Amino acid sequence: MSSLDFLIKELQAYAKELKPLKDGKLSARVSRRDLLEVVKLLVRRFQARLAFITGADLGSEGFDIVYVFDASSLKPRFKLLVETRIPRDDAWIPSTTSITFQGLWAEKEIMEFLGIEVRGHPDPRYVWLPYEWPNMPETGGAPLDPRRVHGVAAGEGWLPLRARPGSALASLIPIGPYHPSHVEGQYVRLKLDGEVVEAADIKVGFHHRGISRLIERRGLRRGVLVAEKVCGICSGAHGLAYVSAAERTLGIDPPERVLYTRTLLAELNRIQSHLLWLGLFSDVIGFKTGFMYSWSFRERVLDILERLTGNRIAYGIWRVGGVSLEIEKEEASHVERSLKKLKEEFSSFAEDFVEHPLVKARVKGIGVLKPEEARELNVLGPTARASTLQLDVRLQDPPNAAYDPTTTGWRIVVKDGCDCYSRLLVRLEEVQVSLDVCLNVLDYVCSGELRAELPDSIEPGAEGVACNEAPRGELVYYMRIQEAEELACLRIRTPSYQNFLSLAVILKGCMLADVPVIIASIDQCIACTDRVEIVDGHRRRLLTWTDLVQLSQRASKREEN
Amino acid sequence: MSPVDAVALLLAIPVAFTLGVLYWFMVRKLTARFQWRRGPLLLVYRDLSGTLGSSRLLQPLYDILKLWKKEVVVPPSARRTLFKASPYIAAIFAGTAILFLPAPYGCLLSSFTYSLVVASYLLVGAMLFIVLGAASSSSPWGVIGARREAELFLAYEMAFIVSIFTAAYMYRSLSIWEISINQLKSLPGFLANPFAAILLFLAALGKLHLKPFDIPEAEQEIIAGPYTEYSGKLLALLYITKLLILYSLATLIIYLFTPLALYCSTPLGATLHIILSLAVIALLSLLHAANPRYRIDQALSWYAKSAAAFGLAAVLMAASLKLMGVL
Repeated sequence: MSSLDFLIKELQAYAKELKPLKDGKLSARVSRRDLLEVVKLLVRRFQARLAFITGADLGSEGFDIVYVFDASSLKPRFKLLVETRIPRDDAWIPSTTSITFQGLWAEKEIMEFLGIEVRGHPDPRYVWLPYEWPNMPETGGAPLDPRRVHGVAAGEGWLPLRARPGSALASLIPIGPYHPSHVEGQYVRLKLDGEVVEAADIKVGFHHRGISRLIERRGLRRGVLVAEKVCGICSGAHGLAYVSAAERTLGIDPPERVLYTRTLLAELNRIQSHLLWLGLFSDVIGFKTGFMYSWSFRERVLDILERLTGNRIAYGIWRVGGVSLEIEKEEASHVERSLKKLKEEFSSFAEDFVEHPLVKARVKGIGVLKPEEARELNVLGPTARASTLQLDVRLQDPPNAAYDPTTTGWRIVVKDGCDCYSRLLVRLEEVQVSLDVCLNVLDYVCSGELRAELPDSIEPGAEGVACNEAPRGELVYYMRIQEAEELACLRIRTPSYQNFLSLAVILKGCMLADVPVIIASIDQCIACTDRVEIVDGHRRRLLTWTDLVQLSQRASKREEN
Repeated sequence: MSPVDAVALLLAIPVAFTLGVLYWFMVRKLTARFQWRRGPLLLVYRDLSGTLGSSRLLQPLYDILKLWKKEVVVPPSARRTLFKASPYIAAIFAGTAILFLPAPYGCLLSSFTYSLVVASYLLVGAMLFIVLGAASSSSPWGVIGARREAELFLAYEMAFIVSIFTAAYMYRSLSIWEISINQLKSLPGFLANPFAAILLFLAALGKLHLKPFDIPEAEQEIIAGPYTEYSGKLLALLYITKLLILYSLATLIIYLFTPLALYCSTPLGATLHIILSLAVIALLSLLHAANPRYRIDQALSWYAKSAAAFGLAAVLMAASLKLMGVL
């Protein structure tokens, strides 16, 4: 009996209903009473990772709370959805934090988005709303648990953001919400003893605009166009995750050419994202020259993307069941030439960069995250792989794109330094691997079908979950169909949201000068986390469509001169 | 004092300031070119010249003029007097130091017996008041910047003092002018004691906050460090101080170790003075572009180890040259 059968047998003791999903995943329905037992069984006995917790609002029927587990120690690796239905007038769930910290922030999101009480949660402060927010809007002004507003007392593992310097008996340093070392708005507050950090606390949520709701309103097929705009850096990753989730919900297998084209786009996207990160990372260690060089490399990748898709940031080629991008032979050979040249130049630059004695001095041994801590905090992506974890969606549960190592040449990159230097090495090597993958898949993208047939009818209540390895880590899309092509709910769990958790642990005990380096080494993407679209953020004025057209016309005119 | 000398002294600071603007332009331009950027344009593109003028050679000056016109904001919790007076005093110190250094057109007060001591103390004074002003600003960034500045100051000042007094010891004088004259009689400084010359150069990196020692101004960590709360005229004064210190350090390096520009009253000497300064600045810019920033503890231990080794070598070399009777 395989361990998987064993797991199913164990689960049958609790599950009211075990049903397979379209893509071979399993969905188990348990009662609220048994929930913690099931979580304990999966996390403790089967070493499963609690990837995500989310909920669907079913109106008068109550809420469906969905726990997404990822049992990576099982063979084959297995994704499991544990669902529980709770009534509307008694909306609470027990917190899983007594078993694992992996769901700490996911539960905060449930509290805030669905208004469900999570009993026993150690940090019930707001994520998206400001801490000063007086009450929950839907409770109509009823007084709230003061812990939600003011946070918990100091000494419970983190520093309440409202603490005053006098009461904290230390200097408190605010980094953010807008600070030169941040690309986007986030707030990190540090308690310092001299230059050494004693405690750190993080607040995000300065840009939240509710983009998941926008996607839900657009429906299954058109939603992808918005999903791609969740993030400007890893737009490809979001597009791919969305179409994978949709295809798994519907049970579609896209043709081979589509898979390879998606891989090409996703990997080019990863290269530019990692190069962007490298630039920012150089900048925070004060290496402006490294910043300029890596961004000039990135510019060339963006040029390739523009030539292929017509766009530099949001490609607009992702379709449920296919891609709308037909790459010609000569186009492919042009891309191949540019990529080869880029690869050559980038390799020598990367070599010099990692061997620079001052770069080594600044990042080696800094921001150590031990493997066991990384596992407990559910850290994802390059940050996890730099801490020896073999955690890569492309290895274990690839999205609907081609990641076969024999044809694409893809391989997982793992380092064992656990520090910022390892994170740097992982990302630099991933750029090289991705360049290889792009060069390899170019042979497959020029011939074949570009669309799969969509099913005529969609079963109401169908649900699907898909992961994609975004540049920053595992990106989860959970989707549930209402009827026809309407989405009942769409939830996005971005890697940065999960990686934030680790900051408070890593920052403790480091020096102030290392704080930006560590924050940068995690490579959070705030836009992903907060899901925002920024419209001309600098000038604070709204641009109308005609203004934008005129601006772009003027810009292209300048270039011609 | 003859009227000619008085005019020379009066001219010293405007000339130093103009050259400082030119040198700072060089730092910015060269750093930009090393980084695949354009930097301030020497020749502005034709379609932009209507708004930008024909050249941005004086870009550092334009920055200062812009700041000069802007409003000065003093944080309500700052110590007002000290906060406002410090930039003025720092600029006065730096300006006075110029008088004790040779100018491209004459030796000014550098022929005074203790000019080396006076000039170095005046430069120290300028840094000291930048630290004081920042510490009184009541901004956490300013205070951390001031603290870092003070810590770094102890490290690079040691290198600076060892270097200049090695030169003084080798050429048996505390007058900058005499030191350069004496180099002509025996060996020039950079040949006789390259260690001391390199040491002064390394100290200059720290004094000017160039990478890898721009720790007090580390933008990504502490916004602008000591300058965080300064604005308007006060910030402009701090920039002026910086330009003057750049000029003084370049001059000091040249006259203590390369006596080529000694005939500074002649047109050739003046040209050599400027060319050599620009060469020193090109080297500084190269290091500035090629390095990331050290952390404060790393910078201190670097100065304590590497710079101390250079210092020891410089002193030993000077002593052995004396013993051998070369100098």
